[in-house]
Amino acid sequence: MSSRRSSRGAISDEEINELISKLQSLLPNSRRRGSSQASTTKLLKETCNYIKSLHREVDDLSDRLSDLMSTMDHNSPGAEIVRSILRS
Amino acid sequence: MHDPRRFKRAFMERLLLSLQVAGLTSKSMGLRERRDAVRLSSDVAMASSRGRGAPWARALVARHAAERRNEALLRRIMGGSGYERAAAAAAAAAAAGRKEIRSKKIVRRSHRVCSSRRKRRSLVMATPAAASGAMSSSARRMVKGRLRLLRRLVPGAESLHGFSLLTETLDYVVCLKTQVELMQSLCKGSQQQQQQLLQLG
Repeated sequence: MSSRRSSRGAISDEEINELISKLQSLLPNSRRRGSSQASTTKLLKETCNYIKSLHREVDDLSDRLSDLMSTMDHNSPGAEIVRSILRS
Repeated sequence: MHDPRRFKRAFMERLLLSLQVAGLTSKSMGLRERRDAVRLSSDVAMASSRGRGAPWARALVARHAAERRNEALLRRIMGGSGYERAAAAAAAAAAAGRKEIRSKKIVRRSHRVCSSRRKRRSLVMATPAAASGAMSSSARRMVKGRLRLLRRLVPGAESLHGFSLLTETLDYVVCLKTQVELMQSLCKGSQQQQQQLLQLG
């Protein structure tokens, strides 16, 4: 990761394009787009929205998980959970 | 970039350990306290599996360490030295933040005093479109605004620009997705276990 962190002048357009397309492919509903200026702003906006929605999901999952764990038996340790996950 | 499989495995292991250590099955915990403990455990598990090399990972842990009420749980999860390190990072970040606010005020004051005809150097990253001059100034402003928002959303990214900001964002989003995935499977696993227990009982 640090190999690319040279001064801004030394970063090639190709590296930037690669980075942008990687980011694009992470987003849900990623569509093939040319690297026009419209897609740069759109990409950034979608990235921001996506991060916000992921944060909300983690919040929601924290709620659910804490509910589930509060109703669990004292005696059942994490091993039970691990086993059930490995089974699923 | 890190090995995603190893990251996932380490993340899950740490998450399970942290959740155990957090004493979440205790009946005396309040709703909010429990939820915050789960969130903290998950974030710390994610960050420590990613490793201290990533700015966002350090910043995320520091964020939790900045709150005194988290100290006991963090010490149990990370150990004393791990906690001390995170708390020191939090204090340093707070000091840097105060310094930045002061220097920003100074810069703003000097901009008002100086001539408004001073040319502003473009701080926008070197996108292909921008490099070829195809971007209008309003589009450039929009990109700047979005980058500013991104810097707030990605932990520890306040001082990152351009390429570094995007690579950090990429890394962070990949790990966030894994966080969601793992927590979902934990929920599912707990639910299944409960259903099984109910069937037996």
